[in-house]
Amino acid sequence: MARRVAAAAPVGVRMAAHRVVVVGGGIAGCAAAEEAARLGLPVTLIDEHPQGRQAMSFDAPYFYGARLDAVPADARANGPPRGQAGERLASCRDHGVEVLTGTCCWGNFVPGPNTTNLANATLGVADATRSWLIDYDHLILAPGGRDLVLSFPGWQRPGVLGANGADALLGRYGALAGRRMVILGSGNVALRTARLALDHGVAVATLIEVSPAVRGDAPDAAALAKAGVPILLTHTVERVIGDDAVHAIRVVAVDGEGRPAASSAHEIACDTVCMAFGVVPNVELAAVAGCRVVFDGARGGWVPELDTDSRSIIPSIFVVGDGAGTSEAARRDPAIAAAQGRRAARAIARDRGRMSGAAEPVPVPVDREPVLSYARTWLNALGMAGGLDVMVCPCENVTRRQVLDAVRTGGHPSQDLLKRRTRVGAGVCQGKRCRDQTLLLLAEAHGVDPAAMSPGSYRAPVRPIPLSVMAALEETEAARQAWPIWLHPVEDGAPGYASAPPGEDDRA
Amino acid sequence: MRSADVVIVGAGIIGLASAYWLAKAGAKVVVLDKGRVAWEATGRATGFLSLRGETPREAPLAVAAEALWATLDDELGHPTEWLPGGRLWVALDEERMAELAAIAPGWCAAGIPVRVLDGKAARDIVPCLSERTLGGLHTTRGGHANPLRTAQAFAHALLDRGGAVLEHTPVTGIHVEREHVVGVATSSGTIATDTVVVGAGPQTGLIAAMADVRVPVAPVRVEATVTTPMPRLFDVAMVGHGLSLRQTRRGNIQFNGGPHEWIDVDAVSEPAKPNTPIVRNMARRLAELFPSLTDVHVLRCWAGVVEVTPDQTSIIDRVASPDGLIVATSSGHGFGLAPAIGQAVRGLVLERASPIPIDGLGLARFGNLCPDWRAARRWSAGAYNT
Repeated sequence: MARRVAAAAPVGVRMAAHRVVVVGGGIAGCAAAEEAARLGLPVTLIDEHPQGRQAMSFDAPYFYGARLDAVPADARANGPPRGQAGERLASCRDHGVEVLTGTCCWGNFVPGPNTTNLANATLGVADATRSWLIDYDHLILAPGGRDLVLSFPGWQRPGVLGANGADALLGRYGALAGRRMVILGSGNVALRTARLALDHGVAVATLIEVSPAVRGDAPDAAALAKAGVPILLTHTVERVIGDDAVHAIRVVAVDGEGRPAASSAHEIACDTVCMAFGVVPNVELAAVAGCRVVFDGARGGWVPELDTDSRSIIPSIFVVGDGAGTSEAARRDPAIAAAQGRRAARAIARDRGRMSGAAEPVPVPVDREPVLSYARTWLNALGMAGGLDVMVCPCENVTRRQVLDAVRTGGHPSQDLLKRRTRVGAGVCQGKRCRDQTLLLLAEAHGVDPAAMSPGSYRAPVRPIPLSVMAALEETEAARQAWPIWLHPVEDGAPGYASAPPGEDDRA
Repeated sequence: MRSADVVIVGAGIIGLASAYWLAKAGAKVVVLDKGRVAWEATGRATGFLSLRGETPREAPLAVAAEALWATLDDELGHPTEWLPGGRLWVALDEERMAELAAIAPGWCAAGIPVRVLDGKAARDIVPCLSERTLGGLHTTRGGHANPLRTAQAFAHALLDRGGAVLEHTPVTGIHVEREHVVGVATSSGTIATDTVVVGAGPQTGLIAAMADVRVPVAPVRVEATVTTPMPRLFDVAMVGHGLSLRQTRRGNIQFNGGPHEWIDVDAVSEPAKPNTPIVRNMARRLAELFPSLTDVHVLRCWAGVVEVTPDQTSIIDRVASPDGLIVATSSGHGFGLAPAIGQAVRGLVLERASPIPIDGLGLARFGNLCPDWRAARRWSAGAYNT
């Protein structure tokens, strides 16, 4: 009845294989690509900027928070990348690197256990109109970090965004629709965002810091003070004031335990609130390939397990830059990321027998206080000031109270289990806005260290991709004919029996 | 030593449903899993209840399950997202349409009324279907639910009834004395029991082998995909264009299907479940099926490991030896049947007989199966899409 069809893997037309592929055109990725090219390896660099507006609306991975100007102030926003980002890519091209901009990498597929039929390690990539596959022999992932998001009443309003998002909108796209910003946090991410805002003519009303001391580097903080930007210490957010826009932020002083002193609450006028609590690694592209992910608080939480060359447990895959781990020190000193990138490229060259000799030492930055520990201090104070009925997951409308109620029903402390129960993290941002807050809430409620928990699953596509773009349009007719209808049905007389299979009533 | 009336191996939908009904009947039940609840076959299920017109010996279970599903949320006290939306098969080409028309009489003969539809009638049921749809088969019977939430609902309800679920506790042996089960060895000690239910999905064969019982199952890796949520489009469980799909209560379209890789598993560790670029071919098929929805985004892909029996039909049996060993596996289509399979298992445990007819689902039918049946089928580990 049903067709028996020839077994064949539906494989499509692929781009010619490039031996080294680098994902991410930041400092680490460009340094890696340039070094690999300098060592004579053929290199392709993929960078997702400029992002389409639809990608931006999915907050991937930048928390743009609808603060994107309707019309970018700079018409070049959709042209070649600007500033340092553009210079880095131009330099890569000068060294012979093939540079694909406006191209996001959404999948990473590796032959291995239970995918033995995959011919090559391959990346799924897409631009605005189509997707395709790029085979690689070596992969250097430099996917950067994403904004660590903690919620407070009003945080979903247009006008609230993340520091990475602000950085991209200000520096890269010239498209930040705001005039007066309040920045939450005082680490190097916050200080840098404040400087960038001032440089682009956006006023910075204040930085808010929950701790009694500035987290970031003293000289940068002093420079801001000199520019007239105050840092309000031992304060937290009570709520954002506004309806369809931000008009002000209401802040309140906290004591040493994070408890708010109600009498101290006051409003600060602003149209933009920037969350600069910190940056955590984008580990998705490593995780979906099967690279082991471990919890390392000193590197920003869940990170790929790497050796000193930044090589993952899959020998062909390296991870460098913020994607390998974030720190205040690396934020201050871009040379660290660049050194990681170069060292990974040299390790690949050594694999190929193209060079020998000792590797360049890369400093291992260690923060006084890791980002998630700092975030816990913030979350504690935000929880006391803002309460439990605050959205954690705006995609699926899940509040802190619902998360904590679900935790109380028992089971292992697992983000995947929590996702099943509450849908937290199941929405269109793919958990990028709620994952860290959920992790902290789970750890707190269970009284365990996050290191004792299983990481939540990471899934391809690591960016939501339209069906029309993801579709394998190059699929061959043979591949279409080999498509099974729920496996291939077993017919009477199927092989494997010593004689004809017994009929249904043989049992009786 | 810990003891239990019944130890159930496998915290998938079949193990948990069996455990729930047994606990409700008063048994002291412990469910063991090498990993987490619903992490293998159940985690990959599309979530359908089919009335099994194509395998009439499973139809009594399906009919019983349909009745149980109707009140399952109230029974369990936890949500399953059951939607009795019926089932629709559609054809986009003449060959497939002829196949569908040919199977209709069999379903009707099995007591499940199906209608052969033309393209317009199919689009009346699912308006977003392609204009290329030539027609299909429709039954108002059956429906779909959320596999993860349902498994979790059974697990919670089991705990509510005093049962236990021990995750990350692999079984390392089944103790048998004088042809009777006397205990189960686990990674954290032995549990004394005279009854073991093996409902371990892809690992069922390996666990049963610990008691020298041969259960022929072949594990296979298959892939699954889900879109971003949309407003309500259709309620039916749908099969067409090489995909099985449903719209979840939240509004996402879950769509499964495509080429598969036969694999081996072990009894103690979680098998690798990677996706492959096939997800692009799946996306293309959904785009062709629903041309007006091509702007909707693919949100997540994942893969699962499913067990397949030699005749792609359930195995539900209380074996003759050792006494006290019950096997329940459903060849990759057990999700919808599970509430009834659980009741069949309860009967086999407590009364040595199923309250629902399970004739022809025993292991005896594999008596003359060759030891190398997987190789003969080209279902051995590494074979692709055979």
